[in-house]
Amino acid sequence: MTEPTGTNLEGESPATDEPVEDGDVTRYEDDVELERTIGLTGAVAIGVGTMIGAGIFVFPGIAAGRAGPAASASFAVGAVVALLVALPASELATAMPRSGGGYYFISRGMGTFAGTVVGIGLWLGLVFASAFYLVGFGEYLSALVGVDSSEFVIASAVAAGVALTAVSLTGTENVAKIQNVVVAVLLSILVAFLSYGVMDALGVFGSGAVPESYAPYGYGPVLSTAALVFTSYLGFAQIATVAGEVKNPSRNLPLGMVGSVVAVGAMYVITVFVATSAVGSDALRDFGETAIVEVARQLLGTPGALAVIAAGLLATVSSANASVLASSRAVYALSRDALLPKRAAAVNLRYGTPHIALALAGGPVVVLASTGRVEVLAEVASFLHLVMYGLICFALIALRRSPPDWYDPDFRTPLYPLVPLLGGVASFALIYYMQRASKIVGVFVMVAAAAWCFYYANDVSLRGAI
Amino acid sequence: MTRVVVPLAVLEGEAVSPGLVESLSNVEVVLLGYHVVPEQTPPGQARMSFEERAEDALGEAAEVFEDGGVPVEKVLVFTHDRGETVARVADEHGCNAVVSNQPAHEADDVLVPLLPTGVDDETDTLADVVVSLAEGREVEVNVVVFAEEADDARAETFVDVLLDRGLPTSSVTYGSRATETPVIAASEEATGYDLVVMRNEFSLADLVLGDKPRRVAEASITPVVGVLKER
Repeated sequence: MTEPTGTNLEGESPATDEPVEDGDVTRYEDDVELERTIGLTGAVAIGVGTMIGAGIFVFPGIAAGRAGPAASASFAVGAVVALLVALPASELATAMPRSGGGYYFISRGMGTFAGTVVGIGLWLGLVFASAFYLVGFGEYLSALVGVDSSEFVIASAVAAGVALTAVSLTGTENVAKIQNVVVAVLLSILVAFLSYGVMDALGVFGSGAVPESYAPYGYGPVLSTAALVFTSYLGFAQIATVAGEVKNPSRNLPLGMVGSVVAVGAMYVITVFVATSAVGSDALRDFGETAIVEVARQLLGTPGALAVIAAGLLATVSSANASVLASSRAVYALSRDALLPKRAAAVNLRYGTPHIALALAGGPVVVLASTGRVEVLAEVASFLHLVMYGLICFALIALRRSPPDWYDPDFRTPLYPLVPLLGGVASFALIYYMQRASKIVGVFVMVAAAAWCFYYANDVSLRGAI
Repeated sequence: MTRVVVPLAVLEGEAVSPGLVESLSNVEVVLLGYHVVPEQTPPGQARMSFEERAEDALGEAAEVFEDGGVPVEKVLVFTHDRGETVARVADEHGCNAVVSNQPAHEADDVLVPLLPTGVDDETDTLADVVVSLAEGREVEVNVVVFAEEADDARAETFVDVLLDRGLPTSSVTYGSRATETPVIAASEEATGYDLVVMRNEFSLADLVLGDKPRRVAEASITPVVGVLKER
């Protein structure tokens, strides 16, 4: 075993204990053990619960406005890219089932510098994602109370962000079980709604929808829209950030990541098909973030619209919550490796929660939510994740070419090296299609992370260590 | 050989009492120090912050046992779920029973409540565990049936099994109580004892109320040895 070495600016070293993974438990010396308590259902609930908030409840209107009915192709492109990354990520996760997900793989596969940039990118990428979900939540709340003002949307997004952070700081032990129920309720509402919508579009209930031109704006917008809506696929990587707590990781991590991408990808494509068939893409664009509510109103009347508003409130808040928790785990992973001060990972005894890491996640979420810029927030989140995804694919290739002696994944990426190569290239290609403002913010975060690495942790060595 | 696991919430200051240590002096003890963290907290992160304190607290509890002449095996677990951890550790260490900790100053009077059951009293491990706890020590074992109708015959049959396996006649008594609420009645009865030994037999109500040994322990403030189903 290679151990991580070096010290940071404050003289702290990376943690060097060597645990043994054993199915449902992680064992350290001296009979200290960590219980793994998240099963396959829990892992899928984290993935799906994080993803559908964006893909179904925020994006369809914006996406159809940009690409027409071809927005369903944009979601399909996103699903393919996500799948090309989920497969390599699954292999790495079974070889290194530790908290921190993509950060952990890249710091071990490519070294401290790439690791720090990705780790800080993951922490802040999840912060941007969470802020984006909260603005979506604000849109749904304003649809519910019938107040159409951006001040109201922003104020409720900020209030929800403060409330979520406060709840996570004081700790309740049963949120995971609530999350499973929320996801089950959401899926039931959606499956009922989509089945009805598909039958309606195909003309089961009388005349079918008159198809409009599939790609009224050409195929260029299909790709730029794919770059925008890619935020709806970020959740699968959050399964990897809790990899250290998943039971039987060699089975549940690949199944959870690949399964949740396939499930939500199919739902997104169907949602956009139903939405564009029911009301047309021009109308969808005018409805904006809550377009799916109007689709439900069209198909099922006011009760349908209310059910979808309720689902949208649940989905966006559960996505925001899952992202804050995952973000605080990224802070923990960085701090364990001495890339952030050790005290950032401290846990308080009273509530048993990592208050500093949670504040480092929740605080900036509230600030970003107050900007109310849905598209930029979403794209910066995607940008930072896509950089990580691209590097995950290349880290896999690096590890396969010269594997350390501990590298023994239980899941192997099919069609190697084609899948990771395509996944890596596609991830970086999507970034190219983003708005300029998002690219500038994304690059700024990466440069700042790189500067932090040189300033704070230049001496720390993580490559090949476990 | 009877092996029991004693779970202790070490960071919440849970400690073992001399009465319990004496009650367990015949059996092998696995001392499970655990700390439950909410889901916001990766167990590994809690370990980074609390391992030393938890180790110290667990060491102190182990000393109490060792001072009483009872050797223990120690395990420290950080977890999201107490139930899963106790079940896994009991299984891995081959334990037949889980102790629900409560304070006890003496170790003289043992209650064995027999609740309505789906298993055969005569062949079950419950009798083995009772015998190995009481063998060679000066204790009074009282076997009491709690059922809708008083049933001395069932208690007597169980006592015969205990005598067959080596407990002296003088140390065993029996009786039965008619009750609609066996667990509550057993808890009330248990208040006057130093130790309770009973089956941990699952029923649907346990999903809401928690397992029966823990309920009896908490209601009676008496330590309970909950005997697990035979594997």
